[in-house]
Amino acid sequence: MAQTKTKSRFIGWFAPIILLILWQLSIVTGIIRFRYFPSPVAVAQAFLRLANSGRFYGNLSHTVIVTLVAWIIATILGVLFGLLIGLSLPVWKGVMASVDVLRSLPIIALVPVGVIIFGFTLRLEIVIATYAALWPILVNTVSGVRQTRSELLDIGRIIRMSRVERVWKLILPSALPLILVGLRLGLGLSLVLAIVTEIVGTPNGIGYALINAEQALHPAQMFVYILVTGVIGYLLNGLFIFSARRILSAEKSAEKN
Amino acid sequence: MRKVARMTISRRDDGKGVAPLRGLVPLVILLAIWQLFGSTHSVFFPRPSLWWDAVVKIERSGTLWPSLVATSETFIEAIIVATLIGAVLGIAIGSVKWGDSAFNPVLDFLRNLPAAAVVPAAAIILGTNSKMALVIVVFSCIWPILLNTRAEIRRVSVVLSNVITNVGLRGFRKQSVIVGSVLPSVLLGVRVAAPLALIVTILAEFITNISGLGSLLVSAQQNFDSPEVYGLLVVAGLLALFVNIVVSLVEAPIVRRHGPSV
Repeated sequence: MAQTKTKSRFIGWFAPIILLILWQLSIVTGIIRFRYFPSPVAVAQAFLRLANSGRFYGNLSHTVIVTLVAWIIATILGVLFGLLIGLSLPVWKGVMASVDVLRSLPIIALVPVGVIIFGFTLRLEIVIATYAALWPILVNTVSGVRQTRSELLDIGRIIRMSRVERVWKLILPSALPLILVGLRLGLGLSLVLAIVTEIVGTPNGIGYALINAEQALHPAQMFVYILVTGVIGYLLNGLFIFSARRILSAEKSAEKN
Repeated sequence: MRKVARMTISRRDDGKGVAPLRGLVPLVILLAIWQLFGSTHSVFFPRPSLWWDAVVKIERSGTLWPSLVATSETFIEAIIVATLIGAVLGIAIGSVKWGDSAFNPVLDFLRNLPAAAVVPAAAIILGTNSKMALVIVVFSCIWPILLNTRAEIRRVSVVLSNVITNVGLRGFRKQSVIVGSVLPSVLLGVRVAAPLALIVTILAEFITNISGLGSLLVSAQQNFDSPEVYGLLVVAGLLALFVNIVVSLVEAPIVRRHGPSV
């Protein structure tokens, strides 16, 4: 078992390395002939140069902080309103269709509306990223709450739990897996929209640096920034899944006790 | 006790399903208040009736329909290409024993790469044209299709390959059985991919200014023509709604025939 695991790890590292070598070879030998397609070596050199400059970390932390702030705001609003809508059938019937309309608006078409209202500011970034992250969190909270098994709620009533207790001890834990899925989707969207607003015009962050590198015709630098956005997304996602698993297993062991 | 019973039943009745249309009322009321009390000259919140006027104005100038056609063309072509490539790659990776362990890290990374960040790169390498938009949309919406197909082939492969060997299917007929068995999953992937593809299409037009709904939005925003921006937002919303309806119409009969995918 352990042996197959290390073996599959090894294979997993194999494919990217082969891809990189093929990429480098195809550029060196001239098989791929795009004017602005950098080789992996050039990208690595650009990365080393950027990593030694201060602005790189400034842009990096800007994007990460905006992403997290927007995500946290969206989490608070999404779970709160999700509970509100999910807990009461009349409220669900009364507003859910409006929620569906609002959340299916293509988020990118909202960016110009935001630009007109807020200009290219930090507030624009946070509002747009929050809006994007809000809907999956809200919708998943609503369906998580509504899928709570009715037997569970009956038991809560029979042992005379108060309404708040029922929400806190029965409904939220049983909705937790779905809420966590919503949070993960929201986190990704928050990052993407932060980068979109930076590419479109907010003068800060990875997206801004990326578009600057493009306009200055530095494709290698641009690729560094693209890879960095990928790494940020990958790490945030990984960190989230890691902590979500811990939360869920803690929840399970609490149930057993 | 009676109360308990009633509440239980009502929950069971409406546990899932489509939200009733009367839920639209708050949105309508909001728009009505906006219309009644909004200012005609507001840059930030122009009245909804002005949105309509703005859209009519774009239509009269003759740019609305060509833009919508351009956006739809990129979108539809991208969905078709992504479905074909995604299904083929998904089947290929799913049916090879070491496929998952070999490609997971690469796929995981590419899937998490924000499409928005890749748009400028595609623009600088391929030039700003509709072919570039196509490439970028395919690149960003192929993942749900590919991953769903791969998961499904994984799920059915043991039973299916036994059946195929026992019945003695070969060549084209073998392939068609495999394709038929993963079709619902492919379509489920398309369902997830379609809204994404529309967003990325508009995004690519938005960032690179190639003609389409996205470039209309940018020029409206750059002119600070806020009624036009709001109007185009509604147009984009209707397009998204239309896409959703078409996808579920296409999906329904196939899922009915082949059974739902999990």
